[in-house]
Amino acid sequence: MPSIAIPTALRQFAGGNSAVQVQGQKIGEAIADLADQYPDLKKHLFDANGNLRSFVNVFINDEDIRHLQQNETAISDSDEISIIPSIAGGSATEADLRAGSTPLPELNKDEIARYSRHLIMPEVGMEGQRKLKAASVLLIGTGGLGSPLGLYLAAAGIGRLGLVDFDVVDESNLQRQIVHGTKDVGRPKIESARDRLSDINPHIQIDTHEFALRSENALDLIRDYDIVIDGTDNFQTRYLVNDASVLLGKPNVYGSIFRFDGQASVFYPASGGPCYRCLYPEPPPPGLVPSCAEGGVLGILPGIIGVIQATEAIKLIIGQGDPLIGRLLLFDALKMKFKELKLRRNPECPLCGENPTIRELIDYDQFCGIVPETVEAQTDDDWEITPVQLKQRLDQGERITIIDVREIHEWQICNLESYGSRLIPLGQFPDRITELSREEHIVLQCKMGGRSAKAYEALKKSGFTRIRNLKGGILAWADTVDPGLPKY
Amino acid sequence: MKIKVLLFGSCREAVGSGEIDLELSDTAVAGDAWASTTQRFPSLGQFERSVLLAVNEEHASKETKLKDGDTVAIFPPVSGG
Repeated sequence: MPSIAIPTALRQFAGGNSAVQVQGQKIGEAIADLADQYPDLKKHLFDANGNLRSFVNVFINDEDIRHLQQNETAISDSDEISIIPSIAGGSATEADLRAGSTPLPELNKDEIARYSRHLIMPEVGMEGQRKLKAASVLLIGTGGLGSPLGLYLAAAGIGRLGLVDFDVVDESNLQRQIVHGTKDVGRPKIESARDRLSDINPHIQIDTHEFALRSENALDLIRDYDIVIDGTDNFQTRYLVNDASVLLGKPNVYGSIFRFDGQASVFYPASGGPCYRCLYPEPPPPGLVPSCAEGGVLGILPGIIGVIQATEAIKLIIGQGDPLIGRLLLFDALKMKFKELKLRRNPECPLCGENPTIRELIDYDQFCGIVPETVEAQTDDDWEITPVQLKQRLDQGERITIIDVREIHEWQICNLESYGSRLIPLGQFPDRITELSREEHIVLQCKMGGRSAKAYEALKKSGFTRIRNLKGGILAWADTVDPGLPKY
Repeated sequence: MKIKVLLFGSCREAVGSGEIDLELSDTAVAGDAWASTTQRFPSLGQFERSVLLAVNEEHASKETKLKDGDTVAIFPPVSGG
């Protein structure tokens, strides 16, 4: 007996099953049998005339039956039959599929005037614009990527935009996070973003979620949206967003940036593509891959990548073009080149593979090797020194050598040279350890305390004992000792 | 056989170059290109379990077979946003 794979969105109408055994020699008979077994499915699969809805795609072994003999296509027990939300070249989204016979919302006169440049293109038209109005999109993060995403998706008329962020606008955000302005410094990012987005488009609904996305809240939040867009800035949340989207069968529009490089893709195993874990089964050890705060980023870069993500979200909703499913788009701003990698699904993926072992959300801090600060403090009590303690000891005339392990261009922004600080960038560390004496009291310092902790480890291995790490780096020094020092 | 290795992001920074050439045995797989690269540049070793490999612009596993003139690309994960 052949079986038909049911997409996540429709399982609620098929007794919760991911596959249903059906009878029939031809695909038309098999689908009719499926609908007989689960009558609730009927309105989602067929229109009023009993024809398969235009956005319901039926595949036999990766071939759309529209390219075979349609309903007359013969099937055998060994064929893999699936109903797939028709985003790969179809004309609607999973949202439409789930909505079944729910009519799309109408556009009022103001909206028709506003969206006229969309409406006159046949690829969007009234139907596409109404699909955008019917759609809901969740933006995780309202920072570098979230800014252009929010601005363009709001302008495009996405009916409901969800914003998740817990951060506050900082001056150092303004070089790239263009949804926020100078007047917003100090305000919660989601409030600032909400004000700007509702000014751009008062016809849309904006949901604000002012908290950090965690394993405890992710499923309930994401469940309520058609599409998730990942604009976060850390690996824990990226794996969390990926896992929650896959478990809920939602498309995850991915983008990530570093210095002059960016990447984007659409992870959507429910439609046959890979997920983030198929590419990167494990996160890098903490501290190995610098964040934007540590490594820097060209302000324009999140604009380019965020706009690509927004484009993909709109294509998914209106069902046009070829989505970035199964492709990783790589962008190099210095070479001004795009490159594309064909991705494949990993059959051994613990999340979306053939024998998944991850069936619920996990502890992502632990998965990414993030150790809570208190544990570290307990194991090695006195490896760090706070800026205030260091200042006190310097003021008491103690001879302490401060070694700044940042790069020369960071040193030029601000430094502790007036306290005798010397620059030895972390990359030169193995070779230049000989410049230091084991007799000296040494304090290692960087921007925030991460790189200097690595230098600390290197010196410890070389037998240094009179060493300390400056807790929180030069930024903490600026915050607690010298407010006149420029921060970056 | 001769293989070209392209390095991206923080892997490129760890090595100090975006492109290196390797000479590998005729039966080599993508994992051998990775092993040979990390042997030359031990600082890459810490990326071991968290890089994406591609052979001729197609996502590959360490078992993917190589042929003369292939390009192996190494992409570390990126988290910025």
